[in-house]
Amino acid sequence: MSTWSYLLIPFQNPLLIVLVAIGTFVGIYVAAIPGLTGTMAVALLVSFTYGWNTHSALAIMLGVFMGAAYGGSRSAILLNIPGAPSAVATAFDGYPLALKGQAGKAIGVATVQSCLGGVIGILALMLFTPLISKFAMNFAARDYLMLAFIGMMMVGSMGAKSLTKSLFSAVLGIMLGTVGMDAVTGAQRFTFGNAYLMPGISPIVAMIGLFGCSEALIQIFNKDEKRVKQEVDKIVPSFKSTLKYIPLTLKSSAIGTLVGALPGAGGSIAALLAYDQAKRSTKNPEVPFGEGAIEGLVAPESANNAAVGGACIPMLTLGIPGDPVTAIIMGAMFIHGLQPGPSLMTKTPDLFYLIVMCLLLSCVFMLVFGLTGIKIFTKVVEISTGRLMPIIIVLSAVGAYAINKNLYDVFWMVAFGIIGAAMKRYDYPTAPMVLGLILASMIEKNLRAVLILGGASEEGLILNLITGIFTNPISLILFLIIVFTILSQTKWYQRQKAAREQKRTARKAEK
Amino acid sequence: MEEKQKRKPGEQGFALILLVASLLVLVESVRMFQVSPKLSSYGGLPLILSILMTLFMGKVILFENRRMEKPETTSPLDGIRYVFSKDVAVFTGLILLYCIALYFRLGFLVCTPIFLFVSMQFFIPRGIKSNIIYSAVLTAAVYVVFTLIFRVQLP
Repeated sequence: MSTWSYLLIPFQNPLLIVLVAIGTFVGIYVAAIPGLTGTMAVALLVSFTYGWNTHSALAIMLGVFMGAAYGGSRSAILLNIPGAPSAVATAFDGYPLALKGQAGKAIGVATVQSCLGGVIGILALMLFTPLISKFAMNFAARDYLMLAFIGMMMVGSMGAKSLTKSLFSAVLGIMLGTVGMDAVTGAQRFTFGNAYLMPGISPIVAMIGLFGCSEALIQIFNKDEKRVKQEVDKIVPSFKSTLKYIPLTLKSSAIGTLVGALPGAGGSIAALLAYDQAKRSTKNPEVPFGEGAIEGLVAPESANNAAVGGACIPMLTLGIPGDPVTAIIMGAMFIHGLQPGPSLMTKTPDLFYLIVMCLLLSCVFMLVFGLTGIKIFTKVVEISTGRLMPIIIVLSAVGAYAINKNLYDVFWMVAFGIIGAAMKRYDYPTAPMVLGLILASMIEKNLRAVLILGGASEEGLILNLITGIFTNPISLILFLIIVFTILSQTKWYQRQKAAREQKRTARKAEK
Repeated sequence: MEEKQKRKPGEQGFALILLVASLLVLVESVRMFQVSPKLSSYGGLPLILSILMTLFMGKVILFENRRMEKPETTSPLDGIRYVFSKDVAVFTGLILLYCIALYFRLGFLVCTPIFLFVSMQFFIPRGIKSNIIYSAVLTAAVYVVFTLIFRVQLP
């Protein structure tokens, strides 16, 4: 079959198109409600779609993924509360526009730019995935181990307040992944004679607890936040104005794709970086940044949706998720018997192009749903936290039970929820924990391969590892990335960077 | 001058709990490693991970948290209150009761509307009528969507 025939798969089954549309709609509205996230919705969907065929399950999850990347912008513009972390930068200029009575214009720009950014990210996914997959076929076990390590380091270093706390969370996740019967020797680990723990901790149950239940508990602290109503007028932006910002759209989408493709980064960092870059590079904005500059909407909105395509690249080529949502989708793929990684392209090319087409369709639906239904939307975001949180718990309980039809899973989900809520209160991010839990088996498999191939003695192992790294260009590059990532976290590097920034600012001021 | 970050109530206590948990995991990992003392054995990875967990928490307690400005109160009770405020504690209690009720097979259609109503009533005491309507409609919606569309068995 050719690429084109693979791309047409969703059109041979109209149900898939309907599911993408439903997913996109749900994603937009879930992400728009402050406190609910796309990650939470996808985590719940994994258990609800457990019995579905793979194509249908992926279609709805990808729709939610793309829709949620955009949905947060609406509440950021109308309420100054970013519905999702990726919409934080959108609020900087979106809300000032709403205050000027131009909320409709802001929503229109955000929708069109999200769609354009999304499409650019998907094109990058389509272009680079086959190339990286071929390249990744040459990866050795030590390379996968280093990749997983890079992923953990990136998750830790980006966005979190403390690198140590993030790394602890990631290591705890891997540790939880080792619970149960060892796949090679059959020995029990951390089961303490409990039969429930023998098959291991279900990543889905943990995900629902950490992203669903814990979020419901955390949101209680914000239950008294007032939500301000907004009047919204005409929202479809003109073709001319869209064309005017195309260079910025392209630049921001490139940043979004690249940042999205970095393991652990994701849409929120992509949007902030693109906003910062737009602020630096836009010479004479019509309105200053922070006071309702359209450029301040174009950059983050195109970047956070471009990050969706970007985040799928490492997941599909290396088996390393780009962000928490792709980590969950990867978990879902495992459940459906698929192995995301370099062999995915050769073994199941139809699945790769199905993912591409579903994401593209989702961009189209995003445009349709984004430019309509504003009245329903304003009603939905007004739902009070006090009513929303109990229903999240019910959905989480249903989701946790649905996988194994075991009520113990519901208790475990609640336990993860309580632990997750405490961790979040003290700034321990939970996303690295989920990433660790999902990557645990891959890490252990490759670690064992490295250790066994390295020889019996410790000296032989170290010598083999060093020789392997310095004689293989892929290993060397990965090793250098690790060295740089560690170095960039040191105080010395931070001081050097700050000094460089200071010099640059002083030079600019002199000019 | 860089402003000192303020430590949250109970932050050091929570880190200590995590450290103790890491040490317990380390003890169990050492026990597993002693059975088959090789890094490629089933105890190898847990040993590496538990050492890392202990080191990370040690760093958080001894360096990161101590560098921060002390909170106004260091009472463990305030720490517990910081995570489990009255609202969170009551809601967590309701969640646990809901799970126990499901465990004793009282039925999804009985437990869910009661849980929804009691929780909503706790958060929004003035909206009794709308809380009843919301609880009934949401239970019906969850039941229809999950049994008919998703074909999921409810607890």
